[in-house]
Amino acid sequence: MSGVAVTMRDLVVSYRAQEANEVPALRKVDFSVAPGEIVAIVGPSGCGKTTLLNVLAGFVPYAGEVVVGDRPPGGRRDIGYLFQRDTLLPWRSLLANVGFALEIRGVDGRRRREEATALLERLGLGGFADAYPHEVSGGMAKRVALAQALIHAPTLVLLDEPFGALDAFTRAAVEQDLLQLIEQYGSTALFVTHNLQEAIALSDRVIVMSARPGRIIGDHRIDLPRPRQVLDVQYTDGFARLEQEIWAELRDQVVAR
Amino acid sequence: MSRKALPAMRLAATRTLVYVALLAGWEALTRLGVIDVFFFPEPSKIAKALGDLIAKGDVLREAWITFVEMLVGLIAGSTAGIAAGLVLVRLPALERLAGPLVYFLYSLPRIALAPMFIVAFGLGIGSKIATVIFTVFFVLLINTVAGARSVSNDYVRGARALGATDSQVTWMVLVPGTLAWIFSALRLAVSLAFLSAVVAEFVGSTGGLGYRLQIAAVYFNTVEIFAWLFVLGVFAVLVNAFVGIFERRALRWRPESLR
Repeated sequence: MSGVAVTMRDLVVSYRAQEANEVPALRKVDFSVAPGEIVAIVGPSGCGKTTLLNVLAGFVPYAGEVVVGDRPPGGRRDIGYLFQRDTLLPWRSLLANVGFALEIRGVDGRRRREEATALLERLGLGGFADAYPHEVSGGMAKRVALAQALIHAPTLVLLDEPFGALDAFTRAAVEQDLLQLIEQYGSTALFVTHNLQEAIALSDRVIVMSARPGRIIGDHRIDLPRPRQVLDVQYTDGFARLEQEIWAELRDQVVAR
Repeated sequence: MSRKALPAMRLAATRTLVYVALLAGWEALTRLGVIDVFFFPEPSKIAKALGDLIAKGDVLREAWITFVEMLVGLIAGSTAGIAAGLVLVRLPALERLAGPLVYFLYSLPRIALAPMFIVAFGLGIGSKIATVIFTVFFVLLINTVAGARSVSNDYVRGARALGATDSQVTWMVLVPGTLAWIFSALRLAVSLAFLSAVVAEFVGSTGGLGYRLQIAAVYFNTVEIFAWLFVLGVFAVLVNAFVGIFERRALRWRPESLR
């Protein structure tokens, strides 16, 4: 399985705050993502990054043209969406949580268990299949959430600051797991983050968005070799220069004007 | 024998001793004429009356009638209440429309409709079942709606992102997420069902625990009143114990503090 191309042309999204009072969230967003590309989106908070992902997931009405693969977003079953807050269902064991996407697709119980067990083992959680979400640590829960969002080898992976709450080491480890999975699947990935280092370490491109209403003000190619080691990549040649370059653009948007 | 078993046995022994002492005290006070035996008959007489009722098969027969009324009403009323709750959750417009009516009916002392059901359905078990259904239905409905609202929107979004259809969201997210609420509502509903079955039997019936209690009261037969009260108590304890087992199994996933 491989990734899907994403194109947005003149994308505009508004929220109706009150009657007849539209607040623009995204303004004239134009960009495309090649199949299998990993793209990070950085920008000040409230700039519409999450809205952008929600458009692609088919959650939000929009104006303009958006194409995922060969059709508009919505009604797809090949998306994996990892949210900021956990979506693990507290009444399901970790195994049943990981198998959730397969259950939705009507995969039979035995194959579901096999695949979910294999993925949990791969993520180092083999011994916790029968535990419930409230019984494991934040880092473990995040790994399970990752497995839940990716078990069906999605062609488009959306990530909305999923690792914000983790400590630096756990974070790097989970990011490594993420990279391995999406590199293996060849998924296209859009990754929203506040963290510039994370953006550079994981992606092929970093897109910089302006303060609200969000539009794209920068697009940087990250030519660091793959496969990458998340913990080491920030010490490679060129990392610091990229970081400085992008920060120079982001700074004006983040710092109060 | 494990180390835990000893204190447990000691507790059981102490309890038995205390209860026997209380009964003996009661018995002694009646014999000494301190307590009026018309209002508080001798425990020995109550026990004998109870024994006679059991021997004649009355206890089982009447308990069975009440049990059937309660169980049928409970199952029908709860199923309908849960289903109606889920419908209202899925159709917010309907919920806004029906909300005040539901709240009005929920706030009524619903057992007060028992006489009306007896007029409508006669003295048999039909009117008791109707009363139970009516009292139970709204408890389940209200709790199902509240429970589904309490299911985090994050779970629903997560399921949708994975491609879940509307009915999958209902059955895989809303219903299981609401189960904790449904179970606490069911607990309440079981007591309510018992209460309304017995009270409806008071109002007018031809059998059941409430009917026999009522008859005993009409004849000022306090010995038999106490005997039937004892039967009612045992009945309720058994039902609650059964619900408890069921609940602990279904809610095993919850942190202990939230069960």
